[in-house]
Amino acid sequence: MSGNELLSDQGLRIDGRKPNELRRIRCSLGIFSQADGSAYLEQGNTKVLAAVYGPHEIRGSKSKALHDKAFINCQFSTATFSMGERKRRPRGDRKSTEMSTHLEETFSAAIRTELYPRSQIDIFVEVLQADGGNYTACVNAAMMALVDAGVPLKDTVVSCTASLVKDVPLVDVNHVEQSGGSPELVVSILPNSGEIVYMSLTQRFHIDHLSKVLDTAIKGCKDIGAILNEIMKGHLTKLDTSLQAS
Amino acid sequence: METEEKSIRALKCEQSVLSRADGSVMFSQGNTVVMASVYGPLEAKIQKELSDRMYIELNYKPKIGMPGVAERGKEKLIKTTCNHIILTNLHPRTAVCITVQEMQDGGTLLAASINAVCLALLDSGLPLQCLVAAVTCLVDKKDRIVLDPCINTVKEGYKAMCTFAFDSQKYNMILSHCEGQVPYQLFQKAMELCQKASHVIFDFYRQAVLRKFSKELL
Amino acid sequence: MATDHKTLQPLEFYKTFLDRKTRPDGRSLLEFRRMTLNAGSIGTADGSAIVKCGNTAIICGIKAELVAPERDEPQKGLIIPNVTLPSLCSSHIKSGPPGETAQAATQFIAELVNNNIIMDLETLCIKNSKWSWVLYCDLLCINLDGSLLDACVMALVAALKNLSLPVVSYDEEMDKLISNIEDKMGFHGIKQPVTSTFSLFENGILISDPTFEEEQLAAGVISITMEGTSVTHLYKPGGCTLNEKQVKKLMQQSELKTKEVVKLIEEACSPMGVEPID
Repeated sequence: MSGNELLSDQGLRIDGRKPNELRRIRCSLGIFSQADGSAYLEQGNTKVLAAVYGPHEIRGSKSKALHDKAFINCQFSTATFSMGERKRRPRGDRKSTEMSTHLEETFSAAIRTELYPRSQIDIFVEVLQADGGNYTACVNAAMMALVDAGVPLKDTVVSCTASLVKDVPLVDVNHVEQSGGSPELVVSILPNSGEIVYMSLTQRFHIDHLSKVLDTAIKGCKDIGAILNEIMKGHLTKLDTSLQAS
Repeated sequence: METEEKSIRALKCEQSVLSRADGSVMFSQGNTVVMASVYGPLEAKIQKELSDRMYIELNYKPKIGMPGVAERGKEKLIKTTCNHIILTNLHPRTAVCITVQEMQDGGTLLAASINAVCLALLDSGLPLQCLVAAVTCLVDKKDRIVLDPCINTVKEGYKAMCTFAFDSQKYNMILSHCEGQVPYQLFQKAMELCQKASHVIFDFYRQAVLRKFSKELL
Repeated sequence: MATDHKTLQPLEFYKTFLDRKTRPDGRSLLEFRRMTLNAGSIGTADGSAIVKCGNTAIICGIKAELVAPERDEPQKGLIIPNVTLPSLCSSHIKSGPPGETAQAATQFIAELVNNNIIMDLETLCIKNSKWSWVLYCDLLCINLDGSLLDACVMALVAALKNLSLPVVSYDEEMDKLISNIEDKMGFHGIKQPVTSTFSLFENGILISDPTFEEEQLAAGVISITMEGTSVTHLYKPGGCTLNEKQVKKLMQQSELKTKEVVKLIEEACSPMGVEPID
């Protein structure tokens, strides 16, 4: 599919959005009873579940224990029915392992790991329906689950993607745009300090465009951050009132 | 075959066939041959250790190839049955390792495996709460119940194949496992038939133990 | 005080409740947990359903593919079930290859499927020994709190009823398949088996729909699968013994649950607008 079809002459994207428009975000917290924290997040048609267990003692080999901080264990998994083609291996393939490592790195930067030496925090994410921006949805969902679990964070982490079509930067890329051959820049930031904790780019574009696309992605992150903040606040006030009532 | 099959096939066993195991048996029921071994009580692995009872590890080895999902299903069935018959709380923080090796498939492997494990446990001298006897029966396409079917009968096709296990105290049901679909009346009839047949197996256990000890005394 | 008692002597803690014919979560002994069912919520799957039985939650997604049937059964299609318990669903599940619980559940569902208890596999065949549907039914547990099999069977049946596939027919002369993406179809004759799980305690006490905790403490478990009023499968993997009177009592309870579940599935799957073909 050529770039022309991804952006119409009227300046609208294939799913009818404006270039700087996010997909609808829906999120609910505390949906599981078993996990210490959990969240379900929808970003357009991308649906993700996240669960957090911990901090608890190290499971499996004790050699993973770190003497000065908590060990973050992430598992990224994609349901077999989440994509157009059936996925044979939900986890453990190269792409999933890579995603898991990236999540571990991202959250090691955000969690105050130094508070829990020799312990472990598990973050599990499961993509139920994939429509582009899986990684960003996972980061956002996992962050909400961490908030639900009450794990101390330095700052929230939010993630967003951006692309470039006909020299116009697009925010929050969906599957069609992603597979249509346009570049995809994934950015995770700590919104309060504005620090970038993760950034990756697929495909190429001229370096002159980078600042423009990056700005779009960061703007997208901040917008998502604001939406998630509201949801978080709503959840916490509800929790607060129910606590007071009891 | 006009009359319904009412008896079970010939039972044979040889105890203490393995020199290294605490208890072992080669058991045959008609053409079905199964070998079982018991090692234990052993030191349990730290992750598997249970503070109030013994951990039972059960491995089912098929005749060829690696154990798959079907074997795991069998393992679970046999293991939970063992959990009931072994007095597990007498040996807390230990493990027992039971291995079942399929030798020849003449139909009713599950029932033969359970009987073999029971004999091997008897041979090992682990304290047991009761004994267990498993019997399989098959409901063929004409709604006739065939007790302890051989492999040819199984291959002819059937409506349902049910395996039951009973305890030696009150002959209550410990295990029930059905493949296929039967109306409840027929199911109940099949269960009663198997319950009666289980007495034959309990008698066989008695004979086997008598034989073993009379040999040892000589 | 109560929590101390529970951690130190979980079984005694439970028995004090059971002796008074109640349970820690407020249910009576033979009461089932509330069930909810949502069909068709996963857009990327050909058929899907989400089931919640109390806290236990299962997502079933079906992906269909066209293949040549197995050589020894050329007139049959295939349903390949797979129960996954990711480490996300409970702190008791370790990551890595599927554990015993998951494999035993997969085997249980596979037995139901292969004995035509779910549906007649011959309806999946398009052309004898040439083409048939294979339905990969992935059952993903997202929250594990006991009675896994009940929720799995319910999710599988609902997802099969929700299934919508392009109409495919076989052209004899051209020797190929003709499909029309626009026309969608489901399958007729999906049966409605319902599994009910019960836990047994040593002193002959029976409880319905056990939670994970109750399953761990109980001396045995029994799963009864019924279709309408007839028993199709009785699965009792060892554990403590059961006499016939008790079995009868459990049958009555399962019948009650079966009615409720069938109603729930019909409500959730009816307004699909997809015409099943013959």
